[in-house]
This record gives sequence, structure tokens and C-alpha cells, in this order.
Amino acid sequence: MTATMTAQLADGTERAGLSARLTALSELVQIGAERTGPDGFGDDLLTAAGDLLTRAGERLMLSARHTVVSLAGGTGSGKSSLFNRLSGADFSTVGITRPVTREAHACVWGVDGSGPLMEWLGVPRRYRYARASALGGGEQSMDGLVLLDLPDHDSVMGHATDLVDELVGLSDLMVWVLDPQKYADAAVHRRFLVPLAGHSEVVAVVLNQADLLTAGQIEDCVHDLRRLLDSEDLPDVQILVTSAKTGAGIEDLRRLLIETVTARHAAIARISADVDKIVARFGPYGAPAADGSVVEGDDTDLYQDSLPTAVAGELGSDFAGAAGVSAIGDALRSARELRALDYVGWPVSWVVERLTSPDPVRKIRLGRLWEELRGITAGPSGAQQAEIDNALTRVADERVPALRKPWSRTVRAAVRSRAEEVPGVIGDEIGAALPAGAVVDRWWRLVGVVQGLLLGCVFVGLAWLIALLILGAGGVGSGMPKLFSDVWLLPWSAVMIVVGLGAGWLTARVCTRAVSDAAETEREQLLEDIRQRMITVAREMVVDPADRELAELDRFRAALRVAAGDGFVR
Amino acid sequence: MTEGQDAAAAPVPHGGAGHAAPAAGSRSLFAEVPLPAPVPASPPGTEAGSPAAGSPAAGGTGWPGDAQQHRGPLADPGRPAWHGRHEGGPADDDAALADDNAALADDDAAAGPESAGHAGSATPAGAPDHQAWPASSIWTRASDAGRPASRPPSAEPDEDVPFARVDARKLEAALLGLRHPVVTVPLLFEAPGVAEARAERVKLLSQIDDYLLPRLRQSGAPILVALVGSTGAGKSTLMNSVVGRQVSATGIRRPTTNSPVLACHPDDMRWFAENVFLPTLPRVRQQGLAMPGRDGLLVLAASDGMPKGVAVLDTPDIDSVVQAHHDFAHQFLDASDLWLFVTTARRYADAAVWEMLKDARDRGAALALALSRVPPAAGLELTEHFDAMLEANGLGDIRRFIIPETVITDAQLPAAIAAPVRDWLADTARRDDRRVAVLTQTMSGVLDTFRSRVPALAAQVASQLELREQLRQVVDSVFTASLADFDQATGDGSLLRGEVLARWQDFAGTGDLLRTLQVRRGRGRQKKQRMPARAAALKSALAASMVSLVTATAAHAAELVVSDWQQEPAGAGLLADLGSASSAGDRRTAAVSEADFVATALADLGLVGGRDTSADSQDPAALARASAGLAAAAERAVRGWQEHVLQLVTEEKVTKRSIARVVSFDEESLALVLTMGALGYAAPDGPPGSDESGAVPQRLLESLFGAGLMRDLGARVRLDLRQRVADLLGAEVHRFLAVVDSAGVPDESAAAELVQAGQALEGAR
Repeated sequence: MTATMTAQLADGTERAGLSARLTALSELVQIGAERTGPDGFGDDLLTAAGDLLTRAGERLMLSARHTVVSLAGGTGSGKSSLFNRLSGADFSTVGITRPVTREAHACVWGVDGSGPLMEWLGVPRRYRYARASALGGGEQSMDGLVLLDLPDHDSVMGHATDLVDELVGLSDLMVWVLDPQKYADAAVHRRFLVPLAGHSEVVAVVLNQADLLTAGQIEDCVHDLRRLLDSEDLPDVQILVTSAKTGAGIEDLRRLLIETVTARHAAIARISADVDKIVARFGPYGAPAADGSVVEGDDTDLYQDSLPTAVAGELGSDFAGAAGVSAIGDALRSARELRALDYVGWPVSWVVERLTSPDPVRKIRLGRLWEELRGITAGPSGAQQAEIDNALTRVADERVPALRKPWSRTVRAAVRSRAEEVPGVIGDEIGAALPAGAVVDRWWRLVGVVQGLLLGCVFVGLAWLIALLILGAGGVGSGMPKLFSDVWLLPWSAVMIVVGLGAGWLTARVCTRAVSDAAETEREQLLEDIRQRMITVAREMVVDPADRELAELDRFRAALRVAAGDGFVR
Repeated sequence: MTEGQDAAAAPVPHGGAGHAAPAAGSRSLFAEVPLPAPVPASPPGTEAGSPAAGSPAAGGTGWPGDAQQHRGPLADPGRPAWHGRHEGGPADDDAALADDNAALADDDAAAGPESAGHAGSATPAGAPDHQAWPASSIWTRASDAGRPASRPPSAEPDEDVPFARVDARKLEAALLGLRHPVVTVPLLFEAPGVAEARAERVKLLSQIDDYLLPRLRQSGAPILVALVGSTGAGKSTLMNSVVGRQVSATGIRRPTTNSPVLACHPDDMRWFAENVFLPTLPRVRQQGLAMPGRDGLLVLAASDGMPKGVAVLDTPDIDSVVQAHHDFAHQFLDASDLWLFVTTARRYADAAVWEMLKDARDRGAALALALSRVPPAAGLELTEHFDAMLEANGLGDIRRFIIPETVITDAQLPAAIAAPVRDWLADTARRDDRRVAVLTQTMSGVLDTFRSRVPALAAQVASQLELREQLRQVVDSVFTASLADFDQATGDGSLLRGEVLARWQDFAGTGDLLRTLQVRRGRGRQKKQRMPARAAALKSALAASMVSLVTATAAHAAELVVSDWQQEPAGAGLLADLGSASSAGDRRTAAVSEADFVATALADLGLVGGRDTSADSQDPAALARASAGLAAAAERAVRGWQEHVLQLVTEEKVTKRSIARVVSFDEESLALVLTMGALGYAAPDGPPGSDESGAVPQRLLESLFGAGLMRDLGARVRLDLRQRVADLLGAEVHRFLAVVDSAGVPDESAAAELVQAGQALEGAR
């Protein structure tokens, strides 16, 4: 009793472990399904994994009390005879001409609760037989056994092969019945045993018809069979030698079945072996190295879960370059200086310039054009899609870590996933960074007033000078205040003019210089602001999607570890 | 002088096409009819050895001159299939299992009178009755060709022969003529069915090389009977029993036979020397008793126990886990004249067995069956079932032996059980009619399959050409679309973003642009002025963004082509080849590339076929990017284009006369303005900010040049740019086309050649 309880307890933990692995497997499938394609997760792998999940889920829901054991083998190997021997009655027809069995037969020891299981297996009702456990004695211990007699898998009746495929997939323990003539047939090895590699625990091989051989031949045969099985990665498979005809070895087989049924372990072992196999096929997709090779030891160095942090900075610079940010800065500074000149400039210099060099634009009647050109101001200029594409390609080529096939592609794709939107976003960001409209600083106006005053001063000086000349020198202005007629005041008026002109010119020079400096500072601030914004854009639109994809890989690897069950990383 | 040398040395005289009307001759290729020469008008279907009486329907109706009553039911569905079990002998058609084997002896006795007569005379002793057959068969036994070796072929002038015959030399020439196009048929690109076509080609070649040509050249060689069948069916045991001593290992392990064993009479051994039979296969001569050779080695066992004129080959199995055995077995099957298929009571319903049998049936090979290990108790039931299955598969007329499960002593069956098989073999060797029938059937069978297989192979050529065209088409259309995209980008102002736009704003907005216009002061005295810094910045920004655009366009196109290629098996195969070729020193192990195959095969033919395989190797990842030198080349091209625009401005003397009199301009700056205008500055969806400022460059240019000239200039500027970029992309396109070409350039006439050679072969039959 304690043994049974221990077994049940172990069974419980095993079930829990298995269901965690299955959950992880379904995660693998879900991650894989989003990354199919020529170099992506194989459809056949995903389908196989999906099928396994369905099958395992169904099997675990059904009777845990029963163990499904199938007798499979080539035509004429004596499956049906063994079946009859084991069940103790002639349930399955035995014949000379081939093939005989074309439908699966099932015999159940202990019918209770086996109904849904039988439905699931799809054995036709008329081929179901029951052994009541009432037979007592040895039969009791076979309680819970569902023994299937499968049709031939290698006969010309092709449809049977699919049925065998299906039922072999559903069995908890597979007993392959071979005979001395056909034990090395490609039909059984290639099609069935090789795919079962790693399933040693839930596969048994019976060499039937031993009565045809001498003892020495049997030994030779078993030895050869063992060699074959070893080469197919089925190393610890039990090989039983039986003869359905003479009954030799049948007891051994029965004992094997009893052990399996009592342990109630086969169903879980079978699914575990299946999961192992599928997970091993998923393994390479989680490999850190590009060639899928397994690297022992600490692989954290080999495996990055995000792009290098420098990427965002590099991309920010690239984006800024693509948007022509330095040119924008220059243009902004120029515009600013030009604008400031309207206020702080020295109008006298301007007039002088106009007088000395004739304006070609006016000459060729392009006056409006002049206005328009003046209207061109620095503004958001968008960005070159081509340069952005090139920058992203560079990142994808040089900065994406070397990963195995689907991941290198998906990460690259993630890097470029929003390439189309980038120019627009950059334009918006730059627009937001640029100062709104033409800003006129207050001190410009002040300087403007000063310049006006100085100009006024010059004019006043000029008027004074003229007045002095006319009134004073001309002697017309007697009676006029002395201020306007005293010739000796002439130098003062001249000084006033000169000082006014000089101060105005100086003020213009100094202020222009100051404006220039301010514009330069402003430009630098703007560039820095834009650079930060560009880095943000790069992070949001390029680095984050790529990192998300890398995180998926991380999740995949974690799921792989769980699904592998024993910390296996490959 | 041995007879064999005679037959071998003399260019093989003639295979007679019986008395076939030429139209029907194809079915009776080698049916040299050993009728007395003066009976040319012998009615069709009365060939000796297959008495017409045995196939009433075929006689005189079917194909005139049909020499193949052996295939009775196949050729003539009207005849009850059960009646064709044996080679047409009617006497024992209904032989029950019990006397089935015993009846064999009667088989020949029941044959037609001519046949009996010749069978009687054609003893191994070599009665010199060949005189009676002026139309000397190429299939005459070696012992029968007892005429002086020195007799030149011309001693048998064709006119002497009253039959239309097949000229073996002609046929050989036709086969050689077919071989070349088969080798060269281009199967360069992967597609569904191409792998099969390649396998088919190898098969065709091996049939020509291993069977047809040797058979034509050495017509006197013994009939080669291949023992084929499942593992454990008792092929080796049967072989030993036929030979009379153990020549092939038997055992309980499966598969037992790892290396094929060929047993024949010592006199016949020379036919199987390395230079004659399956030249590529290494072999050892067996010394003494059963000595298994190494795997893959052909063991030659000479035994006096073998009848002359027939050799038995014990082949490895067709269905064990050892894949190499299957391939091996098939190679031998292709080289054999007659198959003796052995299966067992336990296996006869195996799918593998019937696959093989259907294959044999379809290729029309001469075939016999042995069902071994039949439990005596269930013999009748099993035999009936087996026969019914044969019947259902159209094999009801095949000679079938039953070998009961019995005690094996000394790796041999009891003599009584093996006797029917042994007698039948000896008989086949001895009787010319049978011999001819077997050879005819197998060779016709093979040649018949050529009728559909050769055109099928030729059909591949068309699809290969199409594939190649598709691959090139992809490159072409992708790059054409890229050029169109480039055109649009340069036309609609989308290039005028980012730095270019900012520089323009800087240049135009600060008045530098206008400052480049100068009022003329006096004639000839022009102030030489330096290009403003802002203009220079604009110029280099324009160049840089243009280079970027070209590079991005090319990179995008390259990536598109590669991903498009990747979708199709042909392109994917090409890229995979490229990848493996580029990883230096990493020889392709899985599949020898098509080019290599053709090169070696042509070398086999003695033709200089060495293709220069050193195509510039790139790896697919590099192919998916723009080529390394593109950026530099693009830069050169763009500079050249800017020079060109400047030249245009300089040479055209483009200003309107009225303006030119008063205003001079800086040509560099004007070239920039022209460029901006040509690149669509004021286009409807042009750069932001260009709307309110209006079409400044256009307006300026129109004022300077006049509207008509302005449009013309813009068009010329863009045309020149397009031309230069098209050249750049052309170089990129060539990169891809070179990859396509690196797979080899298919010969368009290959299909026609192949079909022609196939027809020539038909004509030669």
C-alpha cells in the first residue's frame, strides 16, 4: 500500500512538473508562431509541438488509472498471436495470408472509467474487448491495462499506416513486435523507431517467433538488434524474446506489462519523452551564437538582451544629421542676426551701402522677390528618408548582436519597423524645439531707440551746423539766439554730428556682436536640445522595438529552460 | 581465339528487328528471329520460342512484328492473364501449385516447332548451325558465335539479310548522341521537380552507361540475372543452391548480404572484368569458398556449377535499414537483363515489395518471381492469394516459383527444391529464343521508357530557362522600380528636406543669393567674386543628400531582390550556393552543384567542359547590401553632375538679353538655384515652408532665363542626373546578373537537342 501511495505522490509531483513544462512549451510555440518564414521557426516543428500539446492535454485529462500499451509491428510478425496470448482469448484473427489485421483491436483490463479513453483512441466499438478483473490472481495486477493490437504498418494496404501513426502517437508504452526475418526492415526503423529516439523508457521491443531459431541464432539476432537500436538512440530499450506459438517468453512480456501498469508512470513518461524531443528541436533557436552552436559555461557575455547603449546616441547624431540640424542652427543664427540688424543696425551704414552699390534686384524689377527672399526663415525642414534608412541599415548590420537565424532577422526588422515614421517625427520634434516665430528681444528695441536718438542727434547736429553756417557765417541771423548764430559753435556742431555717427556705428558694431554671440549660444542650446530629442526619438522608435524583440528571445530562452525540465540549455 | 573476342572485336553486326515493318519496329528491337533465312515472309508473331499459339490474340493482330509475346497480357489485354504465367507455353498454364515447378521442364517442350528445333541444336557444345541464321543475332550465345574470329564484319553484307534489322552501331551512335544532351541539359535552378529531374538524369545515364551501351557492345555477354528482394528472403541461399556451392554468405543477421556476389561459369568471367561491366564499381575475385567482400565491393565467384551464358547476381536487399543497399541494388537492377524477384510468405504483402514490382513492370524489364519460405501446410492458400495479388497488379503472366520452407543444409536448399530455378536459368541461357526474348524485353523496356522520359527531361529545359528569366526579371523590375522611385524623389522635392532645405534657407534668406547678382559696371569689367560660404555649404549638402539617396535606393533594391529570390526555390538555391561557395574551403558536401556535375560528366565524355567556376564569390548577406564601392562611385557621379549643371549655366549664356546687359551673376550660385528648381523646390508637395515663400528659384530663374528655357534646362539637368544614376544602378544590377550567371548559362537549344536525340534513338531502333 505504501508503495502505491508513494507512487501516487511521485505521480502528483511528476504531473505538476510535466504541466509546467507543457505550459512552457506552449509559450515556445506562441513565440515561434510569430516568427515563421523561410529562416524562421519551421512550420512542421510548430505543428508537431501544437499536436503534442493537444495530445498531452487530452491524455492527461483522461483516465490516469489506465495505461495504453500498443503492440505494433510489420505484417506477419505475430502481433495478433501475442495479443491473443496476452488476453487469453482469440480476440484478434490470426491468419496465413497477408495482411490480416486491418483495424486496431483493444483489450481492457478493468473497464471502469476507460470509456472516454477508448473513444479518444478511436477504437471501433466492435473491436473493444474487456477483461474483468474478476478473473483474479495474476489478472488483478493487470488492472488498468489497455492493450492495443495495431494493424500492419508496412503492408500494401496503405491506409493502415496512418492509423498506426496515430495510435502509436497516443500510446503510453509501445511494444514493437519484430521477427527474425524482418527485424531490420527500413519500414519499421526509419518510419517509427528512429523518430522515437530518446523514448527508450516507453519503448519495448519483442523479438517474436523465436521458435524458428536456435538458441545461438537468437543470441546473434538479439545482439544485432541491440546494435541497431543503439545506433538509433534507443539504447536502453528492453528486448524480449518470445514465441507466440510455443508460449516461450510470454510471461516475461506479461511481467513487463504488469510493472508498467502498476507504476502508472508510462503516460507521463511518454509525454515527457515527447516533450524532451520537441524541446530539443526548439533548442537551437535559443542558441546564443549565430551558427547555433552550443557554448558551454557562462554565456551572458555572448548574449545581449539589449542593443548597446551607445546605439541611441549614435542614432541620435545620425538623425540630427539627416535632418540637417547644424544647417538649421546656422540658418537660425543668420535669420536672428538679420532680424536683429533691423533694430540694432546703424541705418546710416545701410543708406551708404545702398548708395554705393546699386541694387540689381530693383534694377531687373524683382522687387517682390526681394520681399519673398526676406520671408524665407528657418523652420522645421523634415529629414531625408534616405539618410535615415542608411543609418538604420548601419545599426542593423553592425550593432545587432550575432544571433541565430530567425532572431537576427526579427531584430533587424524590429530596428527598422518604424523607419517610415521617423522623418515625420523628427520634423515634429525639430519644429517643437525651434523658437516660435520671430522673437524680438527687448534690448534690441532699446538699442533701436538709442540708435534713433543717436540718429536724431546727428540730424540735430546737422541742422545746427547748417543753421550756424547760414545764420552765423552768412550773417543773416542777427537777432537769432546766439546758439544758432555763433560761428564759434560750429566745431561743436561738427563734434555732435561726428559723435552721433560714431556712437551709432559703434553701437551697431557692439550690438551686432552681442547679437551674434547670443545667437551662437542660442544655436548651441538649440542643437543640444534637438540632439536630446533625436536620442529620445531613436530610443523610442528604434532601440525599444529591438530591445523588445531581444526580450522576447530572453523569454524564449527562459521558457526553453523550463520546458527542458532539467535546466538544460542549448 | 575465343568466341567472345570475336563478338566483342567485330563491331557488333546487327540486331534484327525481326521482320517488323519499320513503323512497328520499335517494339521488336532485338528480336532477332532465328528463323531460317529464306522465310522472310514469315507472318508476324510467329517467332520461335514464343509460339503464336500461346497468345492467340496477339498473333497477327496486335502490333505486326510484335516479338514480345512474353509480355503477352501486358501487350495484349485481350488475353486472359492467367494464361501468361509462363513464357507463353500454353501447356502448363493452369498448372497447380503442386506441379508448378515440375511443369517447368515441360515448358519448353511445349514450345513451337521452330523453337524446339533450335533449342535442340543450340546446345552448349556449339553446334555450328549459325549458318542457318544469316541474320546473325547480336544476341547469339558466345558459344554459338563459333565462326572464325578473323572474319571481318563486312563478310556479312547487309544485303544478304532479308530482314529490316536494327543496326547495333547505329543504335549505339544514337545512344551516344543522346548521352551528350542528357549530360548537358541545364538543371541549374532549384524548383519543385528539379531534384527529381537530376536524379532522373543520373538514372538515365547509368542505364545508358551500365546497361544499354555494354549490352550493345558486348552482345555475347552472358545474361545477367539479378536476384532481388527483401532482406531475409533467401536470395543468397537460392544463389548458393543454383551455383551448387556456397558463394554468398547466408545468416540470421539482417541484412545479411552487404556486398553483391556475382556467380558465373569460369569461361564467362571475362565479361565482368572492370573495363566491361559497371566500370565504376570495385570488385574482387573470390578465391576458394564463401568469402564475403568488403561492403560495397562486387565479389566475382566463378563456378563450374553455373551454366554457361548466364550469370547470377546476388544483390543486397531493397528494404533493410541500410540505405546504401537500396541504392546499390537499384544500380544493379539497371545493369541486369533479368530480375528474379524473391519474396517470402511473410512479406509478400509488404508495400516495399510491390513498389519494386510495379517499378519493374513499368519499365518493362524481364522479370520472374520466387515466393520462398512458404509453410508447406498453407502452401495452396498462400499461393492463391499471392497469385491474385499479382493478377490485380498486372503481373499475372510472370514466371513464378514457389520455394517451400525447408531445412537449409550447407547454406543451400535441397537440390530438388532448387532444381526448377536452376533448370529455368540454364534453359534461359541455352535457348536462343528465350535469350533473345529476355534481352529484347528488357532492352525494349528500357528504351520504351526513354520515349517519355527524354521529352520529360527536355521539358525541364523550358522551365529552367523560364526560371532564369524570372530571376533576372526580379532584378530588372526591382531596379527599374528603384530608378523610378529615385526619379520621383528628385522630381517632387522630397529630396529638399533636412540639411538641403536648411542650407537653402540660410543661403536664400540671408540675402547671399541676391548678393551673387551684380550690376554690371561698364563692359567687360566683371568683378570676380568668390562663392559665398553659404552657397558652398548648400552645394555640399545637396551632393551629400544625393549620394545618400542613391545609396539607400541601391541598398533597398538589393535587399528586395535578395528577399524576393529567397521566396522562390530557384533563388534560394542560388543564394545558398553563393553562401557555401563564399565560405572558403568549405566544400559542399550534400549536393554537388549542377555546374560541377556537368563539368565532371563532360570530362567523362572526353569533352573539354571545364567551366570556369571561379565566379566572384560574395556571400548572400553582402549581396543584400549595396556594393561596397557604391558610395564613392555615387559621390563621383554627383560631383560630375554638379559640374555638368555649372557647365550648362556657363555655356548657355542663358540670361535674357535685356537682363544680361545690366546684371551679371555668379555662375556657381546660379547653378545651385537651377539645381534647386530642377529638384522641384516649389512642387505641390514640396518641402515645408516653400509654399509661403513661393517658387523663389523658379521665379528668379524665369526672370533670368525666361520660362521656356528654364523648363528646358530643368529637364536637361534631371535627365543628366537620371542617366548617371541609371549607370550606377546598372552596375548593381550586373552584380546580381553575375550571380545568376554563376550558376551557369543554360543552353537554349538543349531541349531541342535532347528531343532530337531521343527521336534519333527511336529512329535507330
